[in-house]
Amino acid sequence: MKVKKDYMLRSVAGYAVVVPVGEGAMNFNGVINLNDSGAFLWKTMENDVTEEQMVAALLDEYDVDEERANADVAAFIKKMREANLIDD
Amino acid sequence: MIEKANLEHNVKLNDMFPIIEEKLRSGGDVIFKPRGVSMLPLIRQGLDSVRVSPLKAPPTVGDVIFYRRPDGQFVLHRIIGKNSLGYILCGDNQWIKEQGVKPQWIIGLMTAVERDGKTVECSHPEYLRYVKRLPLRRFKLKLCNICGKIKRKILK
Repeated sequence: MKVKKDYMLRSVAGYAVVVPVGEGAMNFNGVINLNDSGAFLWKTMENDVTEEQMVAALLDEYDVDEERANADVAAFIKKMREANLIDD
Repeated sequence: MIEKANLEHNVKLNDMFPIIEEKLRSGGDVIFKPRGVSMLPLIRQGLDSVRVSPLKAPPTVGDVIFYRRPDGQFVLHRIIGKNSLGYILCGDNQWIKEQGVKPQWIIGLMTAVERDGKTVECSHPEYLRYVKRLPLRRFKLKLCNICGKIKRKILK
């Protein structure tokens, strides 16, 4: 799975925000922002990755146990799906 | 321990203005919900969205423009005149004018208002009728303000 190509991560005013890209009007209503680990997971999903690869990346980057990493990644993917930001 | 990975919708619009400006300068349209009450009753804070487009020609009286003041503040107000100092601007819910808005401050032109799921283009006859009635509205606002001042002075 990977993030949709219609969106990109930008850094602005201390926020990591997801902005729509492309030819159409850019809609700023309900702009999504990510915290530090959220932005990290987003970046891993710019390439096609599995959930297991995301957990491994999170474990590599942060001081976190496997159980917590699994739960975080699963919750993050769920929210990304709800926001319709993922291409499977 | 790290903070749980999360995504939210709590970005302040003010922080997004550099990206909004960038999109407009590159020729694209933007949609956002303006903050403030100065453009009431046309734009209700938190409810109504506007579409702002890049300028294709110099704006004229009656147009609502999106501009950045030299202090960095972004504003969406209506042109009510022009003189040697620049454009004269005023919100629809205001009667005090802002003088000397320079053409180079202007980033875009409001081309539509989105309200209750409906898009009203700024060329729509209904919208143009609203614009035509604005001088009377401003006169009433000014009158109310003067009456309020007198009332407060009497009751003092």
